[in-house]
Amino acid sequence: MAKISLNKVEKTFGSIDVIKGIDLEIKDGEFLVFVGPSGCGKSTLLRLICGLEEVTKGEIIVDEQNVTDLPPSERQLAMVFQSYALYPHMTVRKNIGFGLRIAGFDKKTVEKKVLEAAKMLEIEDLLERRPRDLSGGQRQRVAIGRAIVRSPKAFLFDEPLSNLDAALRVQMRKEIINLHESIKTTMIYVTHDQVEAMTMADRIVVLKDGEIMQVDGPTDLYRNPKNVFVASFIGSPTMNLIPTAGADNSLLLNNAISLPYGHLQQEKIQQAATFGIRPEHLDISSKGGIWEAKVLMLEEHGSEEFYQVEIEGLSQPLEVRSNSSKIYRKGDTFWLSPQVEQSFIFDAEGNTIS
Amino acid sequence: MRDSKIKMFILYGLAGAITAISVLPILWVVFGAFKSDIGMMTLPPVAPDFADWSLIIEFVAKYYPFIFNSLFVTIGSTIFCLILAMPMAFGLVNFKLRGENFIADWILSTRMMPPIAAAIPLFIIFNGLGMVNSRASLLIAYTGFNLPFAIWVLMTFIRKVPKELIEAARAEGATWFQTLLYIVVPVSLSGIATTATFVFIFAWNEFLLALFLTGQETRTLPVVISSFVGTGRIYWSNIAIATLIQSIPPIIFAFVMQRHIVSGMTMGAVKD
Repeated sequence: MAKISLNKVEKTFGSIDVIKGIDLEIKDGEFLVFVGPSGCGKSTLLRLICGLEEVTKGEIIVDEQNVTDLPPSERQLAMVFQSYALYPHMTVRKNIGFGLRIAGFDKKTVEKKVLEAAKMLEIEDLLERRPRDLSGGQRQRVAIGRAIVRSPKAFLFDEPLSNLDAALRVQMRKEIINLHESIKTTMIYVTHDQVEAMTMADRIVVLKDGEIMQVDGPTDLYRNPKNVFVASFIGSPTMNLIPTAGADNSLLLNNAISLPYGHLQQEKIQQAATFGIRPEHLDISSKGGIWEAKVLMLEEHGSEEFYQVEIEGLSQPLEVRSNSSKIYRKGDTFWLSPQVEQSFIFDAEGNTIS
Repeated sequence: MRDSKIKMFILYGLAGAITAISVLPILWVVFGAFKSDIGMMTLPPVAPDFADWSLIIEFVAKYYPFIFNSLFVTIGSTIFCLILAMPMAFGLVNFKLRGENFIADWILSTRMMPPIAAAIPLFIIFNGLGMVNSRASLLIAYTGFNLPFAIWVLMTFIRKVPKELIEAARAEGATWFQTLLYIVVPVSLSGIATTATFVFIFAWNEFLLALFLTGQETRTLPVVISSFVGTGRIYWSNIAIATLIQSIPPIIFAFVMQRHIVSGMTMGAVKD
């Protein structure tokens, strides 16, 4: 178990700044998720913590110990790779026990710990098999087993589930959550899948271009994004973002449509550059509303429907989420009313005003 | 119809001639090992007596120390070469070194030098060290000569080892050396077997350096074979027997190694 601190960590590859000065405190026992689009540096950050990449500037503290210049072998962290990275020439038993044997544990202890880990992950029957005889899910379990068995100070997961099929991914997600609850060790988890991030994390770190955009719990991140990037990255379908200008107690969307916006102070409204509203905060009615919308596309999900609609005066279509009993087809029209209190406005720099 | 028959006839004729050119000398040598000097030269040729091993046994009884020399130097240099080349290749592939490409190219460039250019300096060096006429000198020379080649071939195989395997081992607490020993070596066994085969055959057949660096007792088999061509007489029967013996170990070695060259050794290691 360990607290991990990153102090102004920077990483450059040649002339490219991949990580641009990151400060982060990871609490003991926390499940922290790094999320962001590809190329945002989330995997690099994890590899820096693990020691597989050398930090260009700044320091990494694990459990009060500065590990910045230590090789991975001396950091006592365990990493689970996207590609599993099982040793092909070893049986599952040997794979799981490798780290312990390297560390010089005696045979009996290794055997005991391997069995414990195997039981925990329900892979006791697979111990004599080779990685090539295992399915993707089984391989991932072995990879996790290899991490658990060493009782590391923290677990580092690098997109561990992205090679699994959808059903298995959901199942493994739950198992990793359960694992975290039972062993209560710090876990840092990298993913590009925001559903994984939202469902698993105690706190989520949203990264973009090597910088932290926001660190918060899943719900806080969703409800109170600090900027337009976080607002658009978290949530599916994504938030509708419309260029806007502030006017008297209203917003002028797309320089065309006026939207009454009376619940905010005038000076804040004046700074507005972007208007954001989530698909579920647009109410649908057949009788009347603020905007008339024409359905461009319908996505049926059973429990809910997603519409892509066109509104006269707006240059881009809007995403609308609905779970009403009535389903509108392509070409149908209905009325939309934005819940303005639930909406966001962002300034010209993309920071959230409200 | 006629045309194509003539074509086929010419084609098969040519193929037959080429086969004869390459196979007949080998057959002549193999048959010769079971004949006397005179029997080898008579026309029309006499049939070899494959039941008669007396000349071969006589040869082995007399020349076995040189067969042993050859085996010692060849196996020894193959082992040394692999032990040295493996960490070097691993280092060149996995460490970011200043001028690593230069080092790799430079290593290979030593291979471009004709061996005769090195033979005399090597003789002088080993002479200075008092090591001429010793098996050790040949062992060292062969190891050195094969090292660049071995490093280069091993580098291509080590590059194929998935990077995550090495990283996983490192993250699990293995040192670089342990990673090499427990992960990279077993995973690239097929590459090691391939490299070993080439190194073995080179050292086993090497003649020039052996001629320079060995003396009467430390001669290797190729040098011994050359000594059968005397000023007054050529010992054809001995040449045939020695050549037959000379050709056996590489065949055995290649067969043994082939069994270890298991393709798909890394299957299941990482998601393909």
